[in-house]
Amino acid sequence: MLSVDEYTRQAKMCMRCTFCKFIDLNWVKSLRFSRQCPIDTRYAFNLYSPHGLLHSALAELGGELEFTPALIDALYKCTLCGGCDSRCKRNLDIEVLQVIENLRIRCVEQGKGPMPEHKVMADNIRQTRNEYGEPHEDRLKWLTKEIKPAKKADMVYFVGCASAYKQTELARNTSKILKQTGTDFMLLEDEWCDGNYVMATGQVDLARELAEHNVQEIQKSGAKTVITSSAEVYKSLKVDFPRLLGKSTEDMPYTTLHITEYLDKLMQDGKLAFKKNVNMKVTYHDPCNLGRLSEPWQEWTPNYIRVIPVGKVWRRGDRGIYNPPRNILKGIPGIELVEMERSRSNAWCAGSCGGVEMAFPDFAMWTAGERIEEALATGAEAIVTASPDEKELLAKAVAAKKANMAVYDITEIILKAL
Amino acid sequence: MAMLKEAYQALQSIVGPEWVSDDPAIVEADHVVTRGGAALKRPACSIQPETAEEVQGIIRICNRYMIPFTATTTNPPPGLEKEGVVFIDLKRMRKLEIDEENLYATLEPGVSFAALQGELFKRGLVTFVPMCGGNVSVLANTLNVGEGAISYRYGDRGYRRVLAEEWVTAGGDILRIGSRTMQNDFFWGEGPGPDLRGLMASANLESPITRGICTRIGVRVFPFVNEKLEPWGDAPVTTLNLPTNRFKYYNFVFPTKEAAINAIYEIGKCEIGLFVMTVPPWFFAMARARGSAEVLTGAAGFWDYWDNHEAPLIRQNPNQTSCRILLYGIGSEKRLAYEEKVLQSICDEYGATFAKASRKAQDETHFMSADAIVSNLAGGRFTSVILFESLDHAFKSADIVNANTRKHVPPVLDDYGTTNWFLPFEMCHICKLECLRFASVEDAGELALLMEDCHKDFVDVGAFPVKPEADLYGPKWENYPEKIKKFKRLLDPNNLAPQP
Amino acid sequence: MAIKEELAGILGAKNLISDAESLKPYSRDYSLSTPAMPSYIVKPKNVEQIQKVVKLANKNKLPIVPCSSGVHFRGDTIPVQGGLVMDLSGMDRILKIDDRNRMVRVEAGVTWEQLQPELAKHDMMALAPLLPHHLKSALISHLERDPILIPKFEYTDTLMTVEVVLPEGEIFKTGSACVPGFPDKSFSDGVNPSGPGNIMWTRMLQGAQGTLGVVTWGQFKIEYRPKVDKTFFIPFNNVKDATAFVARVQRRMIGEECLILNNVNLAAMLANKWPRDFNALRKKLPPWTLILVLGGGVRFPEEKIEYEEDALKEIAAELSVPDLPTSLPAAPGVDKDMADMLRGAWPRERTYWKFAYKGSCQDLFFHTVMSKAQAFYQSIGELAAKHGYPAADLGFYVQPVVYGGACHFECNFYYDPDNAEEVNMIKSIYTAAAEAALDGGAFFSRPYGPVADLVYQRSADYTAELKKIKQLMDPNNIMSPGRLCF
Repeated sequence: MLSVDEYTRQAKMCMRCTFCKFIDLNWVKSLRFSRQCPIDTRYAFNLYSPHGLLHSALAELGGELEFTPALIDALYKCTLCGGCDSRCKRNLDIEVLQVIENLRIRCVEQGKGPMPEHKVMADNIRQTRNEYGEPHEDRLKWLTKEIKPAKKADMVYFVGCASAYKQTELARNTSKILKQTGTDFMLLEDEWCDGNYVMATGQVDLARELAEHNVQEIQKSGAKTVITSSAEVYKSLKVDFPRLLGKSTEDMPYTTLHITEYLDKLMQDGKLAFKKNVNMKVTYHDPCNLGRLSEPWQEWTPNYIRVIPVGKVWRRGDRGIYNPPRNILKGIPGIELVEMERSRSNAWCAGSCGGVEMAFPDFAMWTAGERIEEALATGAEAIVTASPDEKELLAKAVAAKKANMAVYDITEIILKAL
Repeated sequence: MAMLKEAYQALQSIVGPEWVSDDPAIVEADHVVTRGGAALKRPACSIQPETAEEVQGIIRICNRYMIPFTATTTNPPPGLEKEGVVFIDLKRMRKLEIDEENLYATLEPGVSFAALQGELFKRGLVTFVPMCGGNVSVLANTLNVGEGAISYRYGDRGYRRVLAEEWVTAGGDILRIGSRTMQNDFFWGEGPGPDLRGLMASANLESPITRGICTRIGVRVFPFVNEKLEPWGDAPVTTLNLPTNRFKYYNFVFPTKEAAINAIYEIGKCEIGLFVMTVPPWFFAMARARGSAEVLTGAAGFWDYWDNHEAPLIRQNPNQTSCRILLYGIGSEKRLAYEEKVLQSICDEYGATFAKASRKAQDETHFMSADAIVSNLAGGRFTSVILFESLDHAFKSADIVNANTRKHVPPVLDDYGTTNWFLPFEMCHICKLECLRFASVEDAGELALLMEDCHKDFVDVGAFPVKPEADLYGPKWENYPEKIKKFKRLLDPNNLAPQP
Repeated sequence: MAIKEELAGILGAKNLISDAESLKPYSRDYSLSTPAMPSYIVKPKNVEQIQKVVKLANKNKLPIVPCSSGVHFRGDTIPVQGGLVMDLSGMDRILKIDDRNRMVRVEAGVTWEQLQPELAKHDMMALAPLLPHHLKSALISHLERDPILIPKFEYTDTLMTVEVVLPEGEIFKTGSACVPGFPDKSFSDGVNPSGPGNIMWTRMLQGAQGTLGVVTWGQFKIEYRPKVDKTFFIPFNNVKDATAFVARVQRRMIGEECLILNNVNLAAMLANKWPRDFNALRKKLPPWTLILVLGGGVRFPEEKIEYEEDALKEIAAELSVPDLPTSLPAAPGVDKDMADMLRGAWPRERTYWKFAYKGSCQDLFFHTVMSKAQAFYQSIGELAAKHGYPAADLGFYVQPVVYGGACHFECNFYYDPDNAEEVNMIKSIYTAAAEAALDGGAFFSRPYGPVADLVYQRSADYTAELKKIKQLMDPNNIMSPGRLCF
């Protein structure tokens, strides 16, 4: 992760301009939906903000601050959505997210973190290779008789814990979609948890172990492409695994695709057209892990001339997977796609990222509720996303609000249209 | 320094335990220093009121227990050089009401310019946005300074736009000013009788917290075009597309600074444009740094462009002065055509040439966002010497800043004396001169020395910088600090608010 | 030494007046205020004399009531607790006309009659209120925040810097005039009203009615005086429609002078022969007239007028306003002179327009939003009728400010000052109307006479603060005691 020098340098650059708290200002359309950072919006103390955490990082490093209950609370309530990182880089190129991630790592190293729920998750993974503690041998129980993955194919489908154990219909949907588009795919022989939440909660050693195992499995399979329909898995494969292994995304022995990327490519190549009508007015929620956080990782050794980082390729959140899901939805007859005020790299986090939902379910629910309010303001009948965890949380928020809104994973909509 | 337990409990009873904390991490995050400020101390606690009544309750408790306090919404506030300060954070106060028929908005400290602007655009109205960005608090910025490029048309600084005000003085009294004195309406700011808005804040880049906490203000909003300003792009390259039938940017270049100043005076007299300014060459480098995300990015982009493009041009033509204007078809498209004709006529008369650069009608700076923070790209830190007076005054004062800059040998950017930015306001009745100077984070001390030298010279020649050092300027400027102290004692009998 | 001798020593004997006959004009004015005699009139010629007089007054606790205009309407220069009236009308130099920075610096005694023609030689004009009396001080108009006819930019607030002798005798210059060497040996041109320090002293002095010091000179904005104008006289049946039209005009930032007058006031301004012309005009003029002057710019003036007129026509079409007349059928030829008339003082050879009808006029004015103008018009009219004041005699003037975001609303009660019954009627209407207006949401930002009492009763915290400030600045309470809430 970040060296001490680089960690210090990045945190010191903060001007406390507070751009990190708002969506890109040119995109602000109302008071109600102008804010970017969930913890800042909800808790308002300066600590509960990106610049507050950056300052805390400096103070902790300098021995002026310990991991107090409030610091741990603010640090682990941050969803690591990356909104602050994108916003800051409009004007100042500070690696805000990496500093916050590093602070979590230091918290874990000092035995003050992560949250108890995160430790339980880690223990589950160590024992059963999934975050729920369910039997590892049940990982493929989602399969039905009709779904027959190939024994050998160029493409491997990385299912992920949520789709394998909890929202199994999403795994089945993905398989059916691949089949209906004539795509051969296989499954890993021994898929382990991708470790998105392990990495996010600062438990890097375990995260590295998971990365090493899964990359080995992928290589063993001979697949050149790994496909997934989970935003969390996507980010792990494309960003976290190379980062943990000291490589760049392009150096990995596979290419990562999200199902929407793949289908969008098929559409562009004229190999896929949606025939069935799905009459619905929908809005699309960009999962952070598929949007801002999904840009390829570029390994870089700090090297500066003046303040110029020599050879660094910046990740500012603008090259996330924003268009493919939208192209797909627009390509389905009958779908009317309306945008929320905060979309693409300005998207408001749904609240399930960063391990927040397992440790702070009330706060996660509040965050999701904010997103539902925003979706309702568009007049859409349904909100569509591309992450099983986000879908589940958004659905809970709809139920809690008794709102008149359906919640879909994009694979559900795609299947309706195929 | 821990506060008296009873005082802390009293504060908890005002806002509820969720909204006050003395956790070391919370108070640590409150005392951030930027730009090489003085050593600060952690506040005793951080508290977040939601209403003016809660603010008054807090200040009264501070007065009872003789605890100093400070307050903020976005910017780090003054007053943290004292021990045991109660840090009052006003971010929860976020109410906003817009009276679009009568062109004013009433708002609390937590409302940002961008949020207000977003709401106003929906209504065919516009607010001024400062060049530090639309992220800052409307209330705080309006009372503290409140200037931006479109101050050319919409009033010099915040004092031109603020209407009625509602305060809790540092002594804990409520003070309502303007129409708010007699009704719950903020539509008018003066009086009754003498205008005490002048006592409470004057937009001289000094925090009004020295008087107390302003909990609500009315601000003027202005007519605008009905066409939408469409946002475009993804971070970091975003902009607002301006309707081209109503807005046109022009860059034009004068052979000398004198010609530029004379022409700008004429532009103001002709009352054209939404803003006009001189453009220091480094602006182009900054814009380039953000504008080419793929190749010339961030600080690399800045320096590449500066070293290879701007610096050679300046050395070739050191007296040349670039200017930029946004012509404004408010009211009608024909007005835009008229403004273009007038501009052409002035440029012909004063020897300017129009730049060949694209005149895309896009804005990153004046309606929502800001480029100010980008100034840090050059070296990591910058400072500004700022003066508000006539355009001629700006012209003369810039020479003083240039001379002192040469003394300190710019540690980062050899600007050849060109980084002075003339920004006329109120149709050139007044001009802001901002002389930006850059340094690396390590050399920020050079910038402080530069400021000191400039101020010593300003005092002698009768220049009028904003935010003067009281010890230096006071004896020469009508002993104003003594007078201000007396007024402060009126409003802050126990001396608990920060010093001016 | 007796005070009189000391004063004579400071000012010279001819600048000190103490005989009863000469004092009498200063004991009263055109308002309904009770007269009160001063002990002396002093006529200083420079700031040093003023300073000495103020210090002497402090020593002897002698009130000072400053005045600069040669005419007064609001009772604010009547010495209600005796003392001196300090008449600065003799300090009448135009100190500097600065075309480049578009500002002028004048002594307190410079009148509108004196100033505007001088500025016109430079193709410039100060931003004037509505037809000020020829003896009215231009600086006092700015200090009193008289509403300006041109509702552009930030034009409620064109005063820049001033020099003031504070109540304890200190000379102080506000804003960027405070620098050493001002005006001749400093970089500063005195255009920044803010400071020194984080106080806007100029604002505190405005509206103070002489209670916080004696202003000796002031600097304020001037603008280009158009050489080509086109004036519209747009008729309306009610003020609601007029203000709705004005709102659109201001939204599109059209025009220079923009004001709404009812038939009574417009007739009073235009009548030459009294009462014949006035009565005829009052009958013929529409109930309300919006006077809108399109002023040609510095360059291509006709083209500016043309595009503004096109926009005006669009507004008229949107609001179904059938006509945009550029003349007044009831007063032929007035269109040629109206712009110049509005940019100057009332000519001294004619009886002041507010006095010509009945001899005097009591003005009730306040700020409100334009959308409430109709309601105030109705409520004041009804109240006047209840008191027996004929509606046909009521004058109204609505002045939009700052793009029509608010307006100065004025009602003019014309009356015969020699008719005791009328005087009493006006007194009771005035107070009742002020109270009713307050109840209806009016804001009296400039309260005079009995209105001040009403206003300060209703603004307890502001009043308390003002009193503290007064005590701080004027511990001997010598400056215009009894004024405002002091």
